[in-house]
Amino acid sequence: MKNKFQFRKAGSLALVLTMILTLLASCGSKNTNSSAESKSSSSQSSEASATKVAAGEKTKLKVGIGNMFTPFCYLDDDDQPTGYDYDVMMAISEKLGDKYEFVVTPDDFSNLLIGLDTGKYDVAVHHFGYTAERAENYLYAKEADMYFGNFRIGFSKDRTDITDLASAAGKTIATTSGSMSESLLLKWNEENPDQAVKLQYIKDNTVVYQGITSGLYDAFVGSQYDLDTLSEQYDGFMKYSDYNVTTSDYDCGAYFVYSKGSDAMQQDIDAALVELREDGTLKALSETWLGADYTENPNA
Amino acid sequence: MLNLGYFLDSLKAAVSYIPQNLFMSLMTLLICCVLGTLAAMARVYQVPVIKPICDFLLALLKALPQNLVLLIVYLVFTITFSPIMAFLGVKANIQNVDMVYVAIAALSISSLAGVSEVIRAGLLSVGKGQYEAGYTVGLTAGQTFFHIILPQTIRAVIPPLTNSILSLVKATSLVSVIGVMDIMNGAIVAANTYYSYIEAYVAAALVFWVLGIIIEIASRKVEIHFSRSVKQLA
Amino acid sequence: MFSWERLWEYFPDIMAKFPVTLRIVLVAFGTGLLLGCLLAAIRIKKIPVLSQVVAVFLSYIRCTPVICQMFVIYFGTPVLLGAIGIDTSEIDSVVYVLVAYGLNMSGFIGETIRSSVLAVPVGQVEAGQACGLTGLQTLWQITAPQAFRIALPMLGTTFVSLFQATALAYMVGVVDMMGKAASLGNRTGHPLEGYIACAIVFAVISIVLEQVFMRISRHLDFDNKRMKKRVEKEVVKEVEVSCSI
Repeated sequence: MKNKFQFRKAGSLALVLTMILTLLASCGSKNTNSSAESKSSSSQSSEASATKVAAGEKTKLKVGIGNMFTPFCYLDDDDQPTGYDYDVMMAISEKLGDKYEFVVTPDDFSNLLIGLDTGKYDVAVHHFGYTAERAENYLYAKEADMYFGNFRIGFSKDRTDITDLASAAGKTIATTSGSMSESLLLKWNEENPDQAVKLQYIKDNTVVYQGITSGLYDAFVGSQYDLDTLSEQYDGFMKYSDYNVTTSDYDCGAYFVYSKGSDAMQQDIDAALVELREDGTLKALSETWLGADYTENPNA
Repeated sequence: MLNLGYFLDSLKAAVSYIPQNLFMSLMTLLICCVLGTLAAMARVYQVPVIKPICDFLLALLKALPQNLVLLIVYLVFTITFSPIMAFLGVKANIQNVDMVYVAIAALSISSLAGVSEVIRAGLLSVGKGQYEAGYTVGLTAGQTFFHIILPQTIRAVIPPLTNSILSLVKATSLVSVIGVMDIMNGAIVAANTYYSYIEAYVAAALVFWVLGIIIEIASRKVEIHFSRSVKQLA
Repeated sequence: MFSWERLWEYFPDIMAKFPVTLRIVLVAFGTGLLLGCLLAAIRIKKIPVLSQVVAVFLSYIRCTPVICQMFVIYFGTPVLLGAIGIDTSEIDSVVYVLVAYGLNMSGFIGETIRSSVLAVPVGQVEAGQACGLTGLQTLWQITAPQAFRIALPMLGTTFVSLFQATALAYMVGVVDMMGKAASLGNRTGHPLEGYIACAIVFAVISIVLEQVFMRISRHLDFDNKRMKKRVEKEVVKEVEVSCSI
């Protein structure tokens, strides 16, 4: 009887110990794995072996890139970042490969800009439009990597009652938290309190189709490009008017955003962007990914 | 490091949504209590057919992450609302349905199993002798349940249910995944202009913390109160 | 709109991310066990100052949603470490998730351990001392095995709820099962099927885990009925709280 009890006790203790040991082991292996992963994504661009040797002389350039914005920056089947913005960044990294070591990390949209604050990233890539509030805290690139067109108000193709924000007064408009369209709508509400629209927050654009067709949202504000792609994805359920949600002097460019003080990086990358635009790489990438050339400013 | 101004903005927004979170959690609790009691009764009294269904459903619901339930309920709701209303011949506009109720429905689904389990334990805690006593004085089964069993069950489940309120309040922080405003989402939206998310999350955590402490103190008081009355009766 | 075919296609992709989820669960639970023992010891021994600090920490862990805790760590740690000159840019997102869930677990597991140890009748410890065992021997040979058996069902519940709570990790950019489902939905424009596939995986694994833990605790269960009642009384209060991290 006593023996049996001892045996059981020893068994239960052994169980705990093995559990803890396994966990510790898995913890250790975990860390090595993740660093290997980030390295592989960083040196995907070019001379993988050379990067390691010369790493000491190169400046590390930490790129935070969106993971849920098809086709600009999203994850492929192997969870590696891909998309138009990513390929532009890779083309730049080839140009600047001697000076910088590019480390690309995919992350959720809402975590990108704050990653600049915390020093996690030097540059955030998520097809950022220009807003004065962002420009206060961050450094904008001077060169756009594409022009996404003016911001339009999109609505179900069966509707005729909405033409502009004034006609959408009191109506529900879907927007993503922290996005350009949110800031445009908030600005509208602030300036036109008697014609305010109702903001409905959505996590990402995948729910727009359901929301618009079911009537949950009256409208959706996005760049012309976004509206076109969204509508096309679901058999043209949405249309938009000529009304420009942004101001007419707005250049509707998509920019890389840097942390304040990263001026040197910004200038180097902008210079590379100009080269890419001139040698036709940007145009080619735009045609591959976006189906047309979006690299010229439509308002210029 | 932390910007006090941004922090206060977020804190103010977070505080203003406290009623919203409380409303959602209390409504959820109410729904779970009603449905949970029915499910618990079916299981305790071994109602044929219904018992295995309840067993299966509760086990399933308990096994799903709450944010996933929220997302699925939300998507299913938007997809099926109009067709169902058309089928029923009801003229209803989906916009008149406040998303808060969709959130409450989803939270109820994912909290049902836990609440039902508490009620089941409460029902089981009432001794067999109580039923026999009821029948002996000539009460019907229904009368015995409502006049004798239920009051004792309620007294037994109130202390553990006050604990559930804390879990429910915490669960309401997930409604932001379907865009419903709450303490956390309010703090974040206030931070969107300047991306002051650190301040926002600290503010939200602080509000939840204070709320949680108050709920804990209240539930401890309730517990003491009820254990005292049990003693007096005994 | 809804397509079974798509659901079927999503399955292998989502299942392939199970190791990522499992890693988070195991590491967080392991951290929780180790740290939890420490916290429980501090609380049981009522070590001055430390005990109070632990009480505040536990209150924070209990009262705030884990999603809040995760984001506070995710955004806050780089700022704090940056302030003392440590570069955090190399740290992978998943590390913050591990830290956040590990701390969360240490709170809940610590309380479980504490209540389990206290549920072992004083007579057992006295018996140990009467036999001439030292304090440590009593703890290791008498209190710990009994406490472990008392704690096991609750640890099982906590483990399962941790598993479910990891479905939030994708919000900081970790591609786990949930992250894969969201990413597939985003790429194809059909999110519902991905989430349902994910839900099926979560449901099956949760139910299996629950069964496993139930079997183990039934196997280790002791037959002393009086003891059992006492334990239930002590433990039932905590269960509700520990169920929801």
